[in-house]
Amino acid sequence: MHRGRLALGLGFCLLAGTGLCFLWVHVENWLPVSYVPYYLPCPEIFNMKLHYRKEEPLPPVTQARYPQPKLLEQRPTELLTLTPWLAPIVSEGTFNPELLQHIYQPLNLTIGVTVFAVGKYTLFVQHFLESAEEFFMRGYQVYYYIFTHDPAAIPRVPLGPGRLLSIIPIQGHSHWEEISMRRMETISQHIARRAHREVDYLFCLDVDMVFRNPWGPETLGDLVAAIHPGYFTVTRQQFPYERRHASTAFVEDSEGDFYYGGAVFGGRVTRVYEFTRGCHMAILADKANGIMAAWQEESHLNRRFISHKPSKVLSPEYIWDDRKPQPPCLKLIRFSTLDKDASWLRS
Amino acid sequence: MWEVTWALPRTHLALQQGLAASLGSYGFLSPRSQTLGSPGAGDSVAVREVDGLQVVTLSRMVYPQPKVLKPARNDVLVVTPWLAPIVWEGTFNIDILNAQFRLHNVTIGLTVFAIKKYVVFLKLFLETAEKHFMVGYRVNYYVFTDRPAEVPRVALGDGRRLEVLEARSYARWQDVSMRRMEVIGDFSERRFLREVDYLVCADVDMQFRDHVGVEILSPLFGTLHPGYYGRGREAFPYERRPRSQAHIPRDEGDFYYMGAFFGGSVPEVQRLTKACHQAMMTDKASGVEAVWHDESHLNKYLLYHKPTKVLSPEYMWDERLLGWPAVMKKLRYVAVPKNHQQIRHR
Repeated sequence: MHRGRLALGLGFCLLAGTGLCFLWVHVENWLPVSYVPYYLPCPEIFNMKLHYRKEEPLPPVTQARYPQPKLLEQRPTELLTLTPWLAPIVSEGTFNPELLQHIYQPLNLTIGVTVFAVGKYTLFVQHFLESAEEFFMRGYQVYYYIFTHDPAAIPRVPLGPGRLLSIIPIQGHSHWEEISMRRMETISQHIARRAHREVDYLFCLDVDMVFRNPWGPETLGDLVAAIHPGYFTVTRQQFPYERRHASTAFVEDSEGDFYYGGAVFGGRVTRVYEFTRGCHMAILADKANGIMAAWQEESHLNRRFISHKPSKVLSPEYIWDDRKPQPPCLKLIRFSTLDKDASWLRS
Repeated sequence: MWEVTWALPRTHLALQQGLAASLGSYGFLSPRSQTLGSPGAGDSVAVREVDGLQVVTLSRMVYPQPKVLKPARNDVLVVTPWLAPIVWEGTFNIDILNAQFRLHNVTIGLTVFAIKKYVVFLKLFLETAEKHFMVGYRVNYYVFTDRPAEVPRVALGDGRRLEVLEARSYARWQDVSMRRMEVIGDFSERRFLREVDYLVCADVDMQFRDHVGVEILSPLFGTLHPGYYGRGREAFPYERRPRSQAHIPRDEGDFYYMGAFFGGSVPEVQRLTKACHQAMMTDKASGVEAVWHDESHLNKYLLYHKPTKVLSPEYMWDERLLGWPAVMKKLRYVAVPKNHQQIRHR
């Protein structure tokens, strides 16, 4: 008697369960956010496993004459030079450029640079490349990757020996935000397809900027971020993180180290691949939810740098805004924005 | 109908709950949540890179914000001119570093040599290491000794083991000191490469008095000698005779490193110890012995193979000789007083 009732009860549960599942499948389609595979990135990325080159030790430094580092410095307060996770913060005076040259030159490295010149932004390429030729990684092999919708609009700038350039056509978009956010996807795809074979380190830079002073091997590291010039003096609550819980780029009030700029990041090419891929997936997840982060991919970059801390941080010398007066704590501006009318450019 | 053997009403309920739970979780199995989280974990690292700052996704942590305009220490240098951190108290947040290193499940090897009378130092060394050295991590102590019976039994914490390894003794204490390089190099190849991620090579006549943790770990690290951290390079007791392999001219040198505490990843320590041993053998053949023996060769090596981290003298101190100056916020690894005459000779 008991058992019969039990069986009946169980049978009913099963039926109810199936019924509910059925209902859910239907209801799903009515919901405002579509779960349709909007999120599928190109399948080839998933299948691409980049071959990790084993870390090689640095070769010995041959004799070099340079002043002895002074351990007991009584310096007036300047910039922080070390993050709490012991990553160096690079600024003028923290490193010896000749010594670093000595260490890195024999390694025969190739450094890649990605820039996106879409729409009117092709106008910036000339100035960018000319200044890069003068200041960016002098004496090293450099590979510029110019992503553009209009290859004909890219000027031919003479390059020094050992420096190459590739123009890579990409799709234009009507909205500048879309162009901006697609960069993560494009960069990770590009690394998977080509760059991992061609360069050792990769920097992803904004094109509407100009090099003003030497940018050398002091910037090389496994995963490199740069401190945004607009927020290095304020508290983390004032950082323009994405603050809506619904976004994957959400950062709480009590979280955050520095506000990093989306205009400069880089590192070993394999690390940049993982980083950009991670950001891209997060952007896609947001897309599926019909949300766009406050500062586009910069918001996602910042979210990711909290949970995947950079191994080296560049001071705002490496990502400056020329509209700001240069403060005394920044001794040498190396890379900064060109004064421009953003609204005209983005139209 | 089939025979229902579950008679207990409780099971009936549990089943109902299980069904409900599985229904509810269907919502969470939507494609959206599958793309969240750490997508990077999917394409895992094929080669294990022993560099602490790796592809690890840190979970949420709360800690004070680092201040760009306020260095943690303005009384000392915290970054070398080749951009390696110099580890002082105040420069690091151990919670962040622990979060990073724990995700890697690192094992740390600690080598120590207790030859002849030096076995007496083992008890205090090991007991204090248990309290302060890499607490919470897997640690393998490698005790090299010619008197295995005299190695004390010290209670070890979870995940920590001790191995007693036979090493031959030498008549001269200088040789005992120098031959450590050879032994470490040999064992690196034979065992350490497979057993640990990082190696720390320490002197035994010392004790741990404060935290020594993962903040020291990096591919190659040396420790500043407490007697010379404030001196000019001409005053460093480098080997100055050109015919020694350890020779360093007066206008060269970054720091004077102490031979009593160095380490790094196993491949790097292997390279260092092999190079130093080879250099010492070359010197021996030329009939010269460097002024501070293995320490002189270590300094030569680290001059031309820059360490990726430098430890402040907090990690190598002698309170009796040097007191406790204001610049030392912590004394972590300190000398145990000993009678040199007695302990070194027979």
